[in-house]
Amino acid sequence: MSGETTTTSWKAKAEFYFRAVLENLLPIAILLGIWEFVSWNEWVPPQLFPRILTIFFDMVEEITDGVLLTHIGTSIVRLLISVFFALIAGTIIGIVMGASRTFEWMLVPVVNFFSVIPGIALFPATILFWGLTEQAVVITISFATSIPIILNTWVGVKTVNETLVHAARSMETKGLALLLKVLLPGSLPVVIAGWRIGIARAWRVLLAGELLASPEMGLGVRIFDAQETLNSAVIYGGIIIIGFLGFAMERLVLRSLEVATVQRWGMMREL
Amino acid sequence: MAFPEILSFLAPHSVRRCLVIGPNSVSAKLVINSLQKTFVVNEGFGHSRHVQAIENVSLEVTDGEFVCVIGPSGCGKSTMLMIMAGLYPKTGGEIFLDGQPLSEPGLNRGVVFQDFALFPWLSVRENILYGVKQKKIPEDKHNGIVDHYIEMMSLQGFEHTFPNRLSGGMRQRVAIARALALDPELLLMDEPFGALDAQTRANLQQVLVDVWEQTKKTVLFITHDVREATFLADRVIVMSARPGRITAEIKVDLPRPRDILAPEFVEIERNLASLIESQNETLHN
Repeated sequence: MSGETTTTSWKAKAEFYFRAVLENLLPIAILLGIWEFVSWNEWVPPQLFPRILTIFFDMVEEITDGVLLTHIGTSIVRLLISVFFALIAGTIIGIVMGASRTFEWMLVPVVNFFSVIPGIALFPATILFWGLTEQAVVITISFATSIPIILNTWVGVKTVNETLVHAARSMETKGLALLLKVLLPGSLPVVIAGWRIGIARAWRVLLAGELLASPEMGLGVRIFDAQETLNSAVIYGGIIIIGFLGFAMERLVLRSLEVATVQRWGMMREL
Repeated sequence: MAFPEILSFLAPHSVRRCLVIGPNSVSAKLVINSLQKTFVVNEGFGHSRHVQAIENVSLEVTDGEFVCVIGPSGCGKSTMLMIMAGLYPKTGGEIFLDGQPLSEPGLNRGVVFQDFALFPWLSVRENILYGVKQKKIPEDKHNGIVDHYIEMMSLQGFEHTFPNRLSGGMRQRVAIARALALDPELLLMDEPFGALDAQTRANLQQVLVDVWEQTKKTVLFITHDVREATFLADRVIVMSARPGRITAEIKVDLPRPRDILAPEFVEIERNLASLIESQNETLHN
């Protein structure tokens, strides 16, 4: 019986990264190409639907001014802080709910109650408490983000293959050790899916927060300011930046995590 | 039981029962006394069903014995094994392993499941070490233990592979290695070769016999395959379907390695098959 050998060549590595970039950017490039084609023909009035190149040059101009990068940086910091709290709290609460009948019974109605409430509807309440501050924004985003993470983690833990739990229990694994050694890694594919949904929700609530709490800086602030001056290039530019940041975060962080864990372990099919 | 015989009237019922068992049982490794199991199946919306899976099963297994339990599907044989692993609570009766009453899971029993139950996120090596770490065996002994069982199960070169990358036969080798690495008093195997193709199964049966002859473990092996039971066991226990009861017991005295085409082998196999067949008839009548 022969063992396994591992091979890594520079050629294979280069090919992997080239393919990754191509596969991820090509669909978006095609979409932007269609946009450019439509706006270049002026099938839609250019005031409403500017050319991609115009949007792009506006962006470059703002970047050299230094304003755009501050907007982006402020939004990303807000998002990352909120997501950090939501990931930790949401995952822990979800695991505990999936592992303990008492917690499940106590929390399922509460979580389901809040899951239907849009993040934007929570702002008036958090602003009452914390005023028009960063805390109000971060707390609201964290709260809204943790809900889908909790629900996914809970289902993930409950659907961990029962024989695995049996095997672990037969070797005297229980309580916290069972949570950390078996239930968390066993539910990781579903947990990561929950993080995906959660982070997407965080972006949405962030933008709503930047509109309602109207801080000085942020991508949302920029878009809503541009709306007042009817600057469509900045509006679309803002939307494109948000979409691109969210997409890049998902690919670079979550997808990489998936490849390094559940896909490497063979718990998730490669396509 | 370290309980003075003269004070036995003070002992709780379960202990007294153990003391009264005849001299024959003193050497018994595993004693099962009128085991009962009734499941309450919750079907939701206020419906529940009571299913009697095991009715009054008594069995004794001596140290180093290889016992196969055979029976039609749904006869409670797997349930019996799960109870002995401590994973299901029993509803009646007693089980003693080395004289100690048994109800919780424990590292003195190694369990091998039909669908392998290897942890996908741990490499072959880490899977084998899982129970060893649970037993708090000092770290400097780990390499020796892993190497020993890797070699015993011919898994050399796959130490760092993840289980889901292995074939079914290889996975079950890892699972057996993991159970043996516990150095258990009792090896519980729940149709371990049921999910494998015929060739791999025959191969692993031989591997298991070799390993058993090396380690002299007490084995309780659940199967529904008559030839497998005849090939492996010192003694075959036949169970009937729903509720599970022991209906027959056959000793297999053939020397190992056994030739599945030898007339003596075929005769025992045929006897066993007819015992199971006759049960199916009573079941249908």
